[in-house]
Amino acid sequence: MSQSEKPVRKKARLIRPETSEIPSSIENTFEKHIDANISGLTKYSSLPLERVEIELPHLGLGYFEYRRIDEKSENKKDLKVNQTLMDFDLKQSLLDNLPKTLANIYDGDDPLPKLNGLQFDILSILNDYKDLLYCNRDWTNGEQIRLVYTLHCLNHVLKTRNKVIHHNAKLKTGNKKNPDYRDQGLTRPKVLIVSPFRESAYRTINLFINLVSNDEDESERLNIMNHKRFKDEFESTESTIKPNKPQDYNELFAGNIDDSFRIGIAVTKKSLKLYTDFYSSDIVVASPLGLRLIIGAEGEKERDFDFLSSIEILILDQTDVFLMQNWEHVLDLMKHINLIPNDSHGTDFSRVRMWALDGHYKYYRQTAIFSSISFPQINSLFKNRCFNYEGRVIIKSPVLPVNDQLHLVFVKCPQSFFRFESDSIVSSPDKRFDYFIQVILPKCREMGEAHTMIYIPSYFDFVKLRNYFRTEDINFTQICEYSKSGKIAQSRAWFFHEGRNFLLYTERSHFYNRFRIKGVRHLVFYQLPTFPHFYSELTNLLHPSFQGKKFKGDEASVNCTVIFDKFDVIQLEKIVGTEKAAYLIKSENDNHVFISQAKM
Amino acid sequence: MSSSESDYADADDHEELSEEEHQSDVDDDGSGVDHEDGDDNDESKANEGEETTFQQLGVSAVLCEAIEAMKWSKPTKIQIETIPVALEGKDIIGLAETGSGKTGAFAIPILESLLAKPQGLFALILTPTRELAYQINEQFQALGASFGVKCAVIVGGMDMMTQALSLAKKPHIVIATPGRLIDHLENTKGFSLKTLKFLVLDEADKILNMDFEKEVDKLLKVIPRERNTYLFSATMTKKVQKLQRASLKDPVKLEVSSKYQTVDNLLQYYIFIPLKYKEIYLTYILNKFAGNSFIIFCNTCSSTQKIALMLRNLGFTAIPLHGQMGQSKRLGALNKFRAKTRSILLATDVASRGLDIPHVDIVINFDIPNHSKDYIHRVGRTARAGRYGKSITFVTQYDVEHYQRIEFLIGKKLPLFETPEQEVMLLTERVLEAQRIANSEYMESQDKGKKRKYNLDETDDTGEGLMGNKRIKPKFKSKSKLKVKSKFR
Repeated sequence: MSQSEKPVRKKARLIRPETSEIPSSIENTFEKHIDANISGLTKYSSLPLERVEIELPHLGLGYFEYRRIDEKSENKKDLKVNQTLMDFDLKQSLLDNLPKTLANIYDGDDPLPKLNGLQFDILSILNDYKDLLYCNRDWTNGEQIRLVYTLHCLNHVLKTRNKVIHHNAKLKTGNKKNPDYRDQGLTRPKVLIVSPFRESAYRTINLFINLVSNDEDESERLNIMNHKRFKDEFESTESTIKPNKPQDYNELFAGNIDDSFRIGIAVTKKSLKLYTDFYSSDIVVASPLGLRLIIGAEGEKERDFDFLSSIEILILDQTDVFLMQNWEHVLDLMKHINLIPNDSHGTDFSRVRMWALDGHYKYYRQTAIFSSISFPQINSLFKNRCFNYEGRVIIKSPVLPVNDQLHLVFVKCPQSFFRFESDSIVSSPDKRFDYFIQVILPKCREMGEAHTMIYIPSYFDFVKLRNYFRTEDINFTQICEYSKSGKIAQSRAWFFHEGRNFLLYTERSHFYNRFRIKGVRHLVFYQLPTFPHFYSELTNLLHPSFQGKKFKGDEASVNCTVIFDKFDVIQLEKIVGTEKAAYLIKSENDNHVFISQAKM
Repeated sequence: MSSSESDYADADDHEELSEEEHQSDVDDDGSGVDHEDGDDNDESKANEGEETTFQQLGVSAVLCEAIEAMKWSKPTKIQIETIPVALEGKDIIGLAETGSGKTGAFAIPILESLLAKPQGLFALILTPTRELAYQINEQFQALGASFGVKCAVIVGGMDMMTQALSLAKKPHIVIATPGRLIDHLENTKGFSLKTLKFLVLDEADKILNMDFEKEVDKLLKVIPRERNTYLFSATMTKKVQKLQRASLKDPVKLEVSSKYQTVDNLLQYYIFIPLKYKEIYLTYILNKFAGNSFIIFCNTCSSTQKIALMLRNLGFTAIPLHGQMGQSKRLGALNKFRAKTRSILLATDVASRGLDIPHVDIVINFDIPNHSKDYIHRVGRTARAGRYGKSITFVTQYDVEHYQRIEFLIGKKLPLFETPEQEVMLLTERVLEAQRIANSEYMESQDKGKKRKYNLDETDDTGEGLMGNKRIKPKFKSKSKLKVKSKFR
C-alpha cells in the first residue's frame, strides 16, 4: 500500500506552487461550520445585515453579506482566498486523486494540470461554507466550476463519514461514560446537486468517480456499483453537434439532454454506489423536473420530500437553464428543502445534531448557485430562500462598455430604446402591454408592417399579444415553444415571403432551437431577452444578407426597437453596459437611439 | 379525619386548608390563598408550631422559590409524608387520592435530585390518561422554570415524529402513557431509557385496570434496576401489589387516607326515579339550577353524545367528552368548558379523575357508576378547593344494588333530592321531542362515522372505548380477577 501511494503523493506535492513552507495549522472549516452552536438563529432574518465590498483576484468585484448573530462578540467575518491546495482542509485521498482527475478531464498538453485562479477563488468560498452566487458561468469555465464543487461536496461527505465511523468505533468500545455523539442529520442525503440535463449529471458523477477511485492500484480501486447501468442511461455516444448553430448552443445541448432524472449516490469505504435508495444516499444528483416528480403536489397521495430534510450543501448549476425549463420546479424544491421529515426513516435519534432537532437546518445549509446570467428570479431565490449563517458572497462586476452587447451588433441600424413607466413589478406586464399597443405597434404599422418580428421572453405575454392580434385581425404568424416543426417551417416561409407581416417569436423557442430567421427587417424586443447574447444574435439578423435577393434597401432601412422599464435593469445592464443602463433608467427622455459602429 | 377530608377536596391546588379556613374562604378561592400567604411567611412559622413548611421538609432554596411562585403555601399531607422519605433516596408506595397534591409529592424530590446531578432522560412518569399527562407536565414546567427543566409529553394521538424529535433532545423528564412510550421504544431508533434514575407510576391502579399490564411489564424490563421508584395508587388492588413486588425495592409505604371519604362542603343527594323518566328529571334539574356549571357523568360514549344533542335541542350549552374523541377534540372540549363558554360537560369516566376545573358547581351521576370507587372520583370534581358543591345521583329501579354499595363505601346515607313530580312531568312533551330529534341526529352522525370506523378503533390510551363491554358486573368481579395470570411474579 505504501509503495503504491508514493508516486501519487509525489504528484500531489508537485502541483503545489512553490510555497516557502507548509502552513502549520489548517483551519478545519468543516467542523467549525457543522459544530457551531448558535443561539440567535430563531430571529435570524431580523438581524442586521452587514455588507462588505470585496474584490477577488479572479472572480472580480462583489460583496459579502452576513448577519451578526452574536451581538456581543465583534465577529467580523472576513473572506480570505487561499492560493495553494494545502491551505484547504481537503481529505488526503482527494488530494491524491486530483491531479489524475485533472488530467482526465482536460486532455491538454500539460502533463500536470493545476487548478487555476478562478477555481481557487471559488474553492475558498465554498470551503469556508459560505453561500455563493456566481452569474458569470459560461461554457468555457463551466467544467472548471464543476470540478470545484464536486471536490467540495465529496470532501464534505467524506469528512462527515469519517466522523461517524470514528464515533461508531468509540461507541463500540463500550465506554461506560458514553458522551453524546451528535454527528448526523435527520436523513442521510446531505448534498443535493441540481443539474438541467442528464449530460451534466453524467459529467458531475464522472468527476465523483474520478476523485474517489485510485486507478493505479488494482487492490485499492473502488468498486463502482451499477456503473454499467449508469453509463447506459446517462452517457451519450452519438455526436449531436450541429455545425450551423452557435457554439454555446452546441456546448449546452451536447449529449443526453433528457431533463427528467434523479440518482442517489452513496459513498462507502470500498465502493461508490450509484442508484442507491435516497434514504441510504449521501449525494443526490437530480434535475428540477426529476425532483418535482417525487416531491409531488399538494393533495397527491404519493409524495416524498423527507429526503430533502437534511441537505447541508445545495448546488444549483446552470441555473439559467432552469429558467428556460420550469422555474416553478426550482421554487417548489426550495419550499420543501430542510423541513422536518414526516417519518423517521430509521434515523438513530441519539446521533442527530441538536440544531437539526431544533429545526435549524436551513441556517446551516450552504447554497451555491452558478448561472450564466444574472436574473431577478435567481437573485430573489438566493436572497430570500437561503439562510446560511456563515453569510453569502455575491459576485457582481459592473459591465464595462467593452463587454456590452452593443459591441457585438455589426448591423449599422438604429436601435431605439423605449422606456415606459411602471410603479410595481406586478403591474409592469400590464403597463408594458398598454405601452406596446398604444405607442410601439402604431409606429410599426406606420413604417410598413411587413417583416416585423416581435421577440417575447414570457409565454404569458406571448399569449396576451397573440390574442390581441387575433381580435384585431392583424396579419401575423407565430413561433412558440409548443409549435410543431412543420408549422414552424410554414411560419418562417410565410414571414419571409411576405405572406404574413408580423411574426411573434418566444424566447424559449429561440433558446431551444436558435433559428436564424430570415427576412427580419424590423425587430421589436417586447422585453429584453433573458440571455443577453440573444440581443446581438437577433439584431444581427437584420443584416441585408438575410433579407433575400429581392431586398433593395440597406442597413439604414432596417431597425430594432426595445421596450424596457426600470425593472429590467439587470438585463439592460448586460446589453448596454452598467453606465449607460443607469443613464437610460434615470434619463428624462424615454427614447434613446444607438447606432452600432462595430466592424465585422 | 377532618384534615384528610380537606386533603381530598383541595385537589391539585395543593393547599391544605384547615377546617376554619374553609369557613372563611369559601366564596373566593383566590383571596383565601393570598390570605394564607401572608400568614405563612418563613418568619411567621413560629406562630403555628404544628405547621410544616417546605423548607423544613428539606427542600432546597431554589425549589422553595418556585413553589412560592406557584402559590403553594404549605405542603399537603402526602407531601409532608413523602418528601423527607424520598429525599433519603428510598422507594415509595403512596396510597393517596387524586388531588391530594401527589404530583408535588413526587415532582419535588425528583427535581431536587435532578438539580444535584443534571442529566437527560432522568425521570419517567407513567400516567393512565393523556389529560393527566398534560397536567403533570404543567406542574413540572412551573416548578422547574427557574432552572430550565425540559419535559416531553409522550401520549397517543399526537404525531410520532414530533415526539421522536423531542425525545432526541434528551428531556430531563418524560411524562408518558404506557402504550405510546412502548411504541417509541420499539420504533424510534436511538431512544432508550438506560439512563433513567426515577420511575413514577401514577394512578397505578388505573394504569393496570386499563390493560396496560403488558406495556408496564415491557417497560420494567428496559429500565435500569438502579433507580428510584415511586408508585402511587388510589387503592391497593392485587394487581398493584404484584406490580409493587416487581418494581420496588423495600419501599416505604405511606398512606394518607385509607378510608373513602368525601368532603363536607359537598352536598350529596340521590334521586329515585323510573328509568324512562331519567331525561325528564335531568332537564328539570338543569332548569332549576340554571346558571351553574355541571358535569354530567354517563357510562357510555354514545349516551354522552345523545344527551348532549338532546340538551342542545333544549337550548342548553352542552358539550360531550369521551374516549372515542380524538386528542385535540378532547382538549378542545375541556377548554371550552374551562372557559365557561359551555356550561354543561357530558363525560364518561375519562373525566372522573385528576381533572381540575375549579368552577364546577354540580355533578350529576346520570348513570350510576359501575365501580363504587368511581363515585368518589366523580363527585370529587366539584366542591374543590374549599368551595361548596352539590352532587345528585340518579338511581333507577335497576340500580338499587349499586347504590347501596356506594352508600356502604362512603359510610353515609344520602338525603333524597325532593322533586315535585307534577311540575317535572310538565316537561315530558318537550323533552321527548328533543330526544327524538337527538336520536335521529345521532344516527346520522353514526352513519357518517362508519366510513372512518377504524379511527374509532385506534389504540386509545384511555381505554374508554372498551369500558362499556369490558366492565363486568360486580357479581362476577371476583371471578374475573381469578382469571388474570400473575405477571409480576
